[in-house]
Amino acid sequence: MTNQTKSPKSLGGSPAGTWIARFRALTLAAILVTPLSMSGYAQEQQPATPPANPAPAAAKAAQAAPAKKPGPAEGKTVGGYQVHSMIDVGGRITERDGSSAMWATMVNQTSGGRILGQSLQMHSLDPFKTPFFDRLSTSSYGYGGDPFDTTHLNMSKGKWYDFASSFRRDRQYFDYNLLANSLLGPNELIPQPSSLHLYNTVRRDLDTLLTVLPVSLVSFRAGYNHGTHEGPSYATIHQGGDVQQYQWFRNGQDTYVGGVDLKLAQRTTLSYDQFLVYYRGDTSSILAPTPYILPDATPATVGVNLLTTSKCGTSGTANYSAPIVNGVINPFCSGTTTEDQSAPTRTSFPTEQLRFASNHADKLALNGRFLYSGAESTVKSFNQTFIGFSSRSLVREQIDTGALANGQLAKNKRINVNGDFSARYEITHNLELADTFNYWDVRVPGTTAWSEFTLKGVATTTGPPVTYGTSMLTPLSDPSLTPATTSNTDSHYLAHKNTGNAILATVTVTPQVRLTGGWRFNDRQIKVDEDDLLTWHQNWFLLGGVVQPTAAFRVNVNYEMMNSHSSNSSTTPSDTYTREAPNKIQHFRARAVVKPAPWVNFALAGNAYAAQNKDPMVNHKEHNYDFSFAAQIIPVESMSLDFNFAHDDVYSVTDLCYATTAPPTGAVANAGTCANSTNENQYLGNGYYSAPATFFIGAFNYAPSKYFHLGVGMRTNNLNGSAEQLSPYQVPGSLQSNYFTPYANLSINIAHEWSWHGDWNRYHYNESGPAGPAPRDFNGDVFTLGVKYAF
Amino acid sequence: MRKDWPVTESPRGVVPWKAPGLRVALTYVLGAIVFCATALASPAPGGKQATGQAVAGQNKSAPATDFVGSEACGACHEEVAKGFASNPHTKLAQMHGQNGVTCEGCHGAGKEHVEGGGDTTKIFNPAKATTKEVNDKCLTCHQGRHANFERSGHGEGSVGCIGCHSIHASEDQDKLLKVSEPSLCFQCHTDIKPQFAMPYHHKVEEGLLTCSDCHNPHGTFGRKSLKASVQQDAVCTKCHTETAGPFVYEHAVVKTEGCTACHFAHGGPNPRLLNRGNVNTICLQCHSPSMNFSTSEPQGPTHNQNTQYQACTVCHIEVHGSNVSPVYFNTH
Repeated sequence: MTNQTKSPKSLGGSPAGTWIARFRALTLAAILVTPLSMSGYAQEQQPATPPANPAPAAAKAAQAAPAKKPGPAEGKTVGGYQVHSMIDVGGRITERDGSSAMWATMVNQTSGGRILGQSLQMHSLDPFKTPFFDRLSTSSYGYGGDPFDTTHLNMSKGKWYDFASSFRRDRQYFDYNLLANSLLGPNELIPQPSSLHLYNTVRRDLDTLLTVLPVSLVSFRAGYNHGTHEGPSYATIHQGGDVQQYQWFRNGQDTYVGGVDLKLAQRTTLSYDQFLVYYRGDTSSILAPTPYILPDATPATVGVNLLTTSKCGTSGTANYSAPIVNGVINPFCSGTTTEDQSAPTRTSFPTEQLRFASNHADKLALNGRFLYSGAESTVKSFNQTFIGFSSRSLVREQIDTGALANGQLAKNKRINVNGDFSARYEITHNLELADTFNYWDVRVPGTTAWSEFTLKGVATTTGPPVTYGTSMLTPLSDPSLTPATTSNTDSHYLAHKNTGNAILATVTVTPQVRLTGGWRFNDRQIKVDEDDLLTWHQNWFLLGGVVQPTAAFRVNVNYEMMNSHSSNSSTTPSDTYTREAPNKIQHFRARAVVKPAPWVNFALAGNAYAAQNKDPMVNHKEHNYDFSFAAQIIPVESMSLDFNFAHDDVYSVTDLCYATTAPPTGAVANAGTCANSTNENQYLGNGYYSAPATFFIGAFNYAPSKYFHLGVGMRTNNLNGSAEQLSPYQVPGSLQSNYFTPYANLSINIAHEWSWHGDWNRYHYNESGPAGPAPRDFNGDVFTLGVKYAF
Repeated sequence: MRKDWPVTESPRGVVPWKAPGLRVALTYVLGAIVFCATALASPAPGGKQATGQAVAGQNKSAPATDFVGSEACGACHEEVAKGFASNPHTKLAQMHGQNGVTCEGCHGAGKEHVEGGGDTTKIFNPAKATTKEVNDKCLTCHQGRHANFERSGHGEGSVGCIGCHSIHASEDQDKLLKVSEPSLCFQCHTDIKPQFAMPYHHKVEEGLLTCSDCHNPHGTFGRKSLKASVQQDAVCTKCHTETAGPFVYEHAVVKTEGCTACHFAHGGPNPRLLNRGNVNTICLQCHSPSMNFSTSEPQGPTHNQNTQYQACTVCHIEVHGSNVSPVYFNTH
């Protein structure tokens, strides 16, 4: 367990020790006073680079290019190296009001001291005198309490080695209670202040790669990746009512990479890679803190939906209408006192890959690869224990354990075969032909076996006279409970094979104009268990063009059209695998980059994507139309302006069927494909989803002298979406929202190699639709103050 | 639906795979040709041509006497030469007894340029060359690592090497990028930048992730230049490891249709990057009756949308796959 995530509901970043809180005020005061006391001294000193630490997201997203890029610090000569270094220390002050859960979900910044950033670059002045490395660069930011932080380290020594590594840490908080919240119903029983599936996890990722003899005829590489994801979270379990579990989410993966490149000839490389991936899933769960007690003082829960879907006691008996009295639960209710699960999972993915690339012949380029991966996965020491009472099944206790060899619950394999080849041939100076072949075959056989021990009770009879049966107070040793043990096995199989080929011709009409055209097909085969083999063909028509009259102007256009059809109508009458997948796609893209003058850049992009599946039982349509524009203007060296504008229109409809006791206005029963429903999902819906979004960024940077830098800007993202509401309790949430984030920053050189900077970021989040159980709007300010030392 | 196959047994014997047709056969033939051509084109190791990448950048048509050496270049291009000391390409100079590739490896033999008093027409200047000329020059050495570049969206779209890289004036000195990611990518991909400003998004703007964590800008065999995990699962599974499986009960569409069947990749307005505002809509779009679709099974579940269940995922927790439940509960 990490200190940062001891509590599932603790907000914000790591406190990084209590001393930070204790001296926070003193630190920030010092940061504030320092620039004032030294500002007079500043005008005669060296400039400092702009803040290198990442500002909170809004500011970073909106940051324009520095109006005047300060020249690199002159650095120092240390031990045969030219050294540049920077450290930025300060803190953040956070003020907010509104929804703390949403703040933590979307911003998650807290007050406290920070190492806002650091960097170090070393370059050898004479590689012969620096035996270990010629170049070293490292940088990091976010330490001390930001919700995410990273560190990068790169080193190299001439022809001998390259080394690259990074470490990233990301804290994820989620408490957006639209996906799972019992409060949204009319008869909520348990007051849930947060989402039932709240999580507060941390993801860490370490990447390293060492390449030995990188420019030699034979070079070797070795890499290691270590990723973990852990933290407290809540889940629900569908047993005895939907019982909330406190789940310690924990999994990790180690990846070892070994490889060799053999340069067989000029511009010809043969590579072999061996990957060993080990996954460990150690997520376990226990019953979440229980809100009620039994008459014998045992803590218990009745789940989250008792009144609407579960029986409490037996109809006709006195206890039926009295589930809870003064916090004491009726023992005849369905309830839970223990709900534990442990399912440690171990998976290994040994993978081999052979690659080649050759452009040995001037007009012919070839490359390809072959990959084989055979994974094995087991679930060891599985144990799931339920103690409580299910009035529906009369189960008082249930214990499930793995019944494969060594107590394993499951044993799965995955065989993955990939082969990709491409050839590109320059037929004439103006005509090229490229062909790419892809093959991918995945098979996943899996089997499971478990032993289930149950203690089953007897039902309460309504009489008269009423005879009370098993309840949560019935001792597990009570002779009225009937033990039983059953053994269960199951096996499943999934196979998916893709075979594709794309051929593309490129015609260079003039040096300024290139046209491309081609065809891609993809054959898909899917087999699940003993079902029929399903097969499809997809055909893509490809067109493209580039016009680049000058180096300052380029226009790219691309058009794709896809048509899918099944190859075996007796088994797969549909043209797609899933209902909502389109069988016809058209996608037009255009991009332009224009630099009409050295001081101005424009970029435009447009997408028109439309797709459909006209199956009369589906009527699926979707489109995504967007237009975006960016401009960067630097009228004078000391000033720059950035603008970004985008409008994105996402739309989709798909016929669907659902059940409800409170049909929305206009709901039609037994219509369309729902007339064929074999269950009670009789209402026809269209899954309408529309999310038009408008985005704007404006940023202004001003640096009238090398001692002063000012940046101001704002970013706004406005969503005015809507969706079909299957439930009257559904709220649009962020689908109708405005996220407005202005910012400003100021950097002043306060002394030789020292600078002070202050940043302000405001976060204004507002939902315009119905709020649901609790408003999610928030306003917050993050002030970042820091002092940077750089040389 | 179920069959008690031993783990190691494939059901292919029960229902054999069907031949994918003539086109596929042709592609197999093409693949074989490609392999054979490669073998023929490649001399035996140790052969005369096996000179390696270090000298590959030399102007093959220029005699050795046409090369003047980097010191001569530095006499006029002092600033460039000084800055080159920290350039990753400097390692090439240390090859072959410190006689490896330097300025003239990329710019061509400089004798005429020098003798012409700096005549710019006598030297290769990437800034004035066509995209293809520049790409050819760079790929002379970098072909091995960027073998897919010419077929990538960037290559096809005439976005050349120096569209993103600057050898002598880079902000990112490790990758020689003109400006660091993601700003570099957003200079053209203005339609993608707003997606990272959505309420829910991968933390790219914040600096935690980069575009190249998921995409290889030099191209891959996949579409959209997407990378894959080392075991060839979706690139998403490198971080979201718990979704990779393999599971006894695979949710087939996760593996066959990919993560983007239900999630936005960059950012979106919906929690957990779902591509619909309500998770139930996503589920019901597949799990509704349609005689033509095998994936419409099961039709349901039949749950009153007017209850407090609210989300299918309250009960169907393990929607990416489960070792416990065929309906993706986390219990038997």
